[in-house]
Amino acid sequence: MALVGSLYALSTIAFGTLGIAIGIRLLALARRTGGAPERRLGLGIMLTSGCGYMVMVIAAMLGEIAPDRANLSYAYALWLLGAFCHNLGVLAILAFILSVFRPHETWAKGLAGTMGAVLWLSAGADLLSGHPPLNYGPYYWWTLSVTGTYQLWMSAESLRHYAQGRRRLALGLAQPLVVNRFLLWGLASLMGTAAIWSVNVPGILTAGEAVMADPATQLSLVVTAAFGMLTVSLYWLTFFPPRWYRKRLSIPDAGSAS
Amino acid sequence: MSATTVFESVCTQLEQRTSLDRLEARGTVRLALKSAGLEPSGVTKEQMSVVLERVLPGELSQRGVDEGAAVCAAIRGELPEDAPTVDSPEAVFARLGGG
Repeated sequence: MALVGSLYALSTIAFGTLGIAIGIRLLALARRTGGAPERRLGLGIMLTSGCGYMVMVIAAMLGEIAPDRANLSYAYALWLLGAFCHNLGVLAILAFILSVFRPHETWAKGLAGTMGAVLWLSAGADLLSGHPPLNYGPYYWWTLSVTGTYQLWMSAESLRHYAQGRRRLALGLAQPLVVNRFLLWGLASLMGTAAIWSVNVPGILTAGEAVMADPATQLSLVVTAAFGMLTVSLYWLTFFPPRWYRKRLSIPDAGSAS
Repeated sequence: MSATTVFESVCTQLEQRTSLDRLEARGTVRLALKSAGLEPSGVTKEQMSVVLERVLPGELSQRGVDEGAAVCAAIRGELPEDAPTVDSPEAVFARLGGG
């Protein structure tokens, strides 16, 4: 159990740390370019993965390690801070999706608004419900309906543009690296969604009564850690493509994926 | 002016220069854009120029339009300038890798 917990903790820290690094980099880019999309995405990634999810996991682990009343209070306060940051980040990413992919569609604005409202209202309702700290609240599943799906929207839009980009490439109307970036980001968003759902499977199966020592919980942590590392790797290729990767995409060949 | 001006301009000229009616002209151009991975609402002058050169003549030929290449060449010479638009997804994602 300690090994699995350590693996999960390490992958979460890697995920969160890289999320903060990417967020800072995108915010610095936004300062240079003046671009609102990079500012929204930078805030979104930094707040959801780094300041949000990582802090929430650390808080949950602190509560698990030392469940006395005083530590639980600190852990819960930390968890609330992480949840607040995470949910702010979700709003920033929804704003990114709207402004970049669907700037004119009314249905998209309605969907984003609904998701944002459900997320914050359910989180607020949970806070006011007085449920035991660091346990699932009665409205958690409403929150999960948003946190477990918003990245699917991002993924669908990115992969759609990847498909379009491949056709543009054939006409010389696209850059291979940019087309590939849509693919990587679409896949990263899918992996991120998979990680969120895999860590919640024990809670779903036990109606919120999952115990850390259960084999199902242990397995879900391993799977979540794997998805987390995949996500981090894809983030890295998306935002920090190494020279060999850029070079490989710049030279057209019959076997190129982009 | 919006980015649809390029699309609308091409459709109008196609209708005027061929036997295609308005619906047929718009549908043909939409299909050509789709096969090129482009959307009417965001296509630029440069992109449409490539579509007119390399994609649309084939579409016109399939619809029995004579001298489609010549028609497209004429339309290419009269494309309007791009209007200022919001960042395209491609422009944004091009910047995300470091600018």
